[in-house]
Amino acid sequence: MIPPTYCEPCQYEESQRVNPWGDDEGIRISKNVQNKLEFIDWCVREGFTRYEEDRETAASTEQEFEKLAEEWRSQTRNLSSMMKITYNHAYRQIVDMGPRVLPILLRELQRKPDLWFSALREISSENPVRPEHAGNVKKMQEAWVNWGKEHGYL
Amino acid sequence: MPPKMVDDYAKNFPAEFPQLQDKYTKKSHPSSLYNCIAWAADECHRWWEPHPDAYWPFEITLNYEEDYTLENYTRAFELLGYEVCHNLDATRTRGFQKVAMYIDQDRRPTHAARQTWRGFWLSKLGKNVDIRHENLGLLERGEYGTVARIMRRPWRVTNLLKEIILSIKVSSFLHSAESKDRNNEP
Repeated sequence: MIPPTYCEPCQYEESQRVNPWGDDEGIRISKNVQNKLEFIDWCVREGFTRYEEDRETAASTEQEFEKLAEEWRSQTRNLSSMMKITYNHAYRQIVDMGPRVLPILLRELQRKPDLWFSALREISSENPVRPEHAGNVKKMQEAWVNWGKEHGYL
Repeated sequence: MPPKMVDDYAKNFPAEFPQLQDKYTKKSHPSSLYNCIAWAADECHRWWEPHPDAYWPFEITLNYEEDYTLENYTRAFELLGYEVCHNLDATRTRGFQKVAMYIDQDRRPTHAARQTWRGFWLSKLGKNVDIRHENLGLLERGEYGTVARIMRRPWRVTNLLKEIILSIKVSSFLHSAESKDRNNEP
């Protein structure tokens, strides 16, 4: 959508008065103010449209994640190797979803400790876990949850 | 006769452990906090594996071919006082505690199990439950391949006591969880 032209105050003309409420008792406003109102109206509508789109995208990302996560859990439940667990096809697809899946991964990790560390590391290119805590899933969970809070994901 | 209900944790057992059937006792709830190697090493608070996100008792090369070998896993258990048994004798040997290692077709370690003082075997099935099984063959010819190495060390009093205390704690925990489940049933 193209935003309406925004008039600068210098374009103010006393003669161009409109009544946006459509009644005689309404406030008389200049063309300039009317343009500003149209602009604000456009911003609000555009904002809502984007908000709706974002919500739909987030919902579909969440659905996609849930489906893949369930597949991953079921296929790797009895595997003892983190290497095999994180090379699972569904897990790789989750990693391929990129940064948009970060808040979901962090929420999931906050809810329940699980082996999401490789995915988080690969997507964010960061590792907040101290080397001496490698393998200690609870400490790793704590480090990632704190990282998520610091970076505004949680 | 109504079909037998299968618990969620056991859904993949027929496909992944064809020999196991119902010849096991569940000893814990599923947990991602530790794996079979950790459990065989008598730990339940961290994941043991030569992987950057896991604990390993010595430096790793980050090379799959070099890190994921039976020799590397054997070395980790040697650091805990185990020594290699030069046969695959899985029977109970008085005074000794044993661990067994499973490997896949590529000779990569897949699983480890630990023997109890009464001669049973304890296995943590990945992120799933701990089980007690009578023999090692029950987990063979499936996801974990075959047993390739057995190691042993003299029983230590501390380990023995720890195992007895843990088994009491686990069974009382499971008992209370099951009673809670039963009370919650409509």
